[in-house]
Amino acid sequence: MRFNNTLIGLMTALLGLYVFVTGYRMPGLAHLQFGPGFFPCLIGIGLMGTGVGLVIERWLSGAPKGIWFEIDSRLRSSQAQTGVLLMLGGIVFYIMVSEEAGFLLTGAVVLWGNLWWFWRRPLAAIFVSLLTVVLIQISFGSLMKVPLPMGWLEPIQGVFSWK
Amino acid sequence: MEVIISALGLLFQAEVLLAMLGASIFGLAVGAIPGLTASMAVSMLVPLTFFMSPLVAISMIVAVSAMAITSGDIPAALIRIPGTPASAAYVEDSYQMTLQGKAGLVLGTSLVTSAIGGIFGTLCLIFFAPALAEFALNFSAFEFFWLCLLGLSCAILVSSGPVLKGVLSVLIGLLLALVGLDPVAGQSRFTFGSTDMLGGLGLVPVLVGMFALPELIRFAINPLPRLIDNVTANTKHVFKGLFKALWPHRVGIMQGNVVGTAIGALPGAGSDVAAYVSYAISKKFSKTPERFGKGHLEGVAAAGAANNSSVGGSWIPSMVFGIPGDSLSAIVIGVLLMKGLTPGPTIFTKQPELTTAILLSFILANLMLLPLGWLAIKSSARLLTLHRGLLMPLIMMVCMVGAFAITNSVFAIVVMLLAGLLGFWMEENDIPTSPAILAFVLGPMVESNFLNGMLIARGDFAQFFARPIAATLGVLICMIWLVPLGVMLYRKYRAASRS
Repeated sequence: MRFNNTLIGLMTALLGLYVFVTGYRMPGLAHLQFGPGFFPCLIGIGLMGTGVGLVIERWLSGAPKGIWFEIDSRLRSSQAQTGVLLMLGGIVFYIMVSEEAGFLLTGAVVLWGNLWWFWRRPLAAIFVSLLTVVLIQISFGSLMKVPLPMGWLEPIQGVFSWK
Repeated sequence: MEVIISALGLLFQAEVLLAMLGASIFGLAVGAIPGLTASMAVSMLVPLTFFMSPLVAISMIVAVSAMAITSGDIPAALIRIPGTPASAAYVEDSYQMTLQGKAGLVLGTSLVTSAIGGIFGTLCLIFFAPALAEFALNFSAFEFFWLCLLGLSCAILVSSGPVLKGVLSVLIGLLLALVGLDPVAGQSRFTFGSTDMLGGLGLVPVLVGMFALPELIRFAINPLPRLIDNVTANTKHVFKGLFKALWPHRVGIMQGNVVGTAIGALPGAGSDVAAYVSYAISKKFSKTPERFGKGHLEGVAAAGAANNSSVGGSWIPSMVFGIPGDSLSAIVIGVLLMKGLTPGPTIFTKQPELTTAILLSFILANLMLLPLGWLAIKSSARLLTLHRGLLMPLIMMVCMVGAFAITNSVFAIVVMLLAGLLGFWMEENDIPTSPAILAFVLGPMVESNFLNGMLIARGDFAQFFARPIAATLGVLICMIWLVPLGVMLYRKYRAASRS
C-alpha cells in the first residue's frame, strides 16, 4: 500500500505531536534535571519536523495532487488476497490459539494451511507440517528448553521424546 | 601469545566447529536464494544463539554473514538476480560472463576474492581494534553520544531513497527503542499499561519482523513457485585457471580490500555500499572502463573482495565503541548484550581470550568459505530451483518459534507481526528499514549518553564540544549534514543566476 508523501508527512507529524505531548506530560524527577520525558519530546519534535519536511518537499516537487494512497494492483487478485490472508491470518491464529491448543496442533494447522496454498500439494503438506512441528518441538522444546505450549496434548506429554 | 593459544583452544572445540559448520551451510543456502538476505539469515539464527555460549553464538553469526554475502553471488551470476544486496553492484558483469560460458570462472573469482577480502578485513580488525580500544578508554558520555549520532547520520546518508525518509526511519527506530523502562530513571514509557512491554519490544522480534516478514508478505502477494525452472550454466571448473585470471587484477582486489574495510568501519555503511563504491573506483581507474558491465572480471574481483572485507571492518566500531557498523553488526551487538558482554573498549581487557577467539573465528569462517562455497556452487541448481511454496511457510514457522523462544511469550510474536507489517509498509513507501534497526539498537545508548552528558554539563549543551575528540566528532557530524546542504543550495543559486 503506497501512501503519497503528504499523507506520510501528516501521519508522521501527528505521531510526533502525540509523542511530544506524551513525553511532556511524563512526570519529572526531583533530583534529575532531564526526566524520562525529555528524550521522547526531542523525538516528537524530530518527527513533527520530518513530517512537515515531507509535506513541503512534495508540495515543492509539484507532484500531481489527489491520489492519497494506492493499493498494490497485484493485491486486487483473489489469489494474492487469499495468500496474504493465509500467511498473516495464520500468524494471528497461532497467537490466539497456541496457548490453549498447544504448539504441535496449532503449528501443524497453520503450516499445513500455508503449504497447501503455496506448495499446492495437500497430502505431502500434511507430512511436511507434522514432521516440521515435531522437529521444532524436539530442537527448541527438548534441546533448548523453550517451553512451547503443549495445550490439549498435555495429558500425553512425556509419552514421546518431547517431554 | 598465551592469549592466542587459549583463544585457539576455545575456538577449536567440537561444539564451536560444528555450530560454525551448520551455520555456514545455512548461510550459504539462504544467501543463494534470491530475496533472502544476510540480515534475514542472521536474524533467524539469533533465537537459536540465545541458548548457546557467547563464543558459539558469535562464531555462528560470523559464519552466517560471511557465507550469505558470498553465496549471494551465485544467483547473481547464474540467473542475474543478486542473492543479497551486496552482490547487486556487479550482477551485470557476472551474468554476462555466465552467458559467455565462464560461470565457473566468475563464481570461483567471487569465492576466492571474498575469502581474501574477509581475511583482510579480519586482520585489520585484529590489528586496529585493540589500539583503538585503548584510545577509546578515555571516551566519556560526550564522545559516545557523538559516535552514536555519527552512526545514525551515516545510516541515513548512505541509505537508498530520499534523506527525509532515512531520517524518518531513524526516528521510527528511536521511537520503538523508547518503549519500556527509561535507561536513566527507570520509569515506564509508551507501555500502555502492559507488563509485557516493560522490558521493551525486544531485539529479536523486531529484527525478525522487519527483515523476514516483509519478504514473506511479498511472496504471499506474488507467490512465484520458482524463479527459474532449471540452471544450464556450466560450473564444472570453479578453481581451474583462476590464479592466472586474477593475477592481472591484484591491485583491484587490494583496492577492494581497503575500500571495503574502510567503508565497513564507517558506522552505518554496510557491504552493499562497499561493493558499489569499490566497483565504481575500479571502473574509474581501469584501463578498459568500457568493458565494465559487459562481462569483465576486474569489477567483480574488486567488489567481491570489498563486500566481504566490509564485514570485518564493520566489527571495528562495534567491538571498540559498541556502535554498529551496519545492520548485521547491530544484531551482533544485541547478541553480545544478551550474553552479558558489553561491547566497548573494555571488552579487550576484560575478556581477552574470548575476544581473540571471536576474531579468530572470522579467519576460520573465511577459510571454510572455500570448500563450502565450492559445494554451494556445485549444488546451486538444486538451491535455485527449490520450490518457494515449500520454503516460505517453513521460514514463517521458524520466525514465530524464534520470536517466542526469547521471552517464552506469544507477545513476542505479536511484536514480530506488527514490526513486520511496519517494515513492509516502510519498504513499500521507500522508507529504508536498516536505519530503523540501527536506531533501535543505538536508541538506549544515544539517550543514556545524551542525558548523562547533559547531567554532567548541568544542562549546558556547549559542553558537548568542550573536549577535543568530542568537539572533532561534533563538528564532523555538523559538516556531514551542512556541507551537502550548502553544496545543494550553491548549485541552485548558480543555476538560478545562469537562467
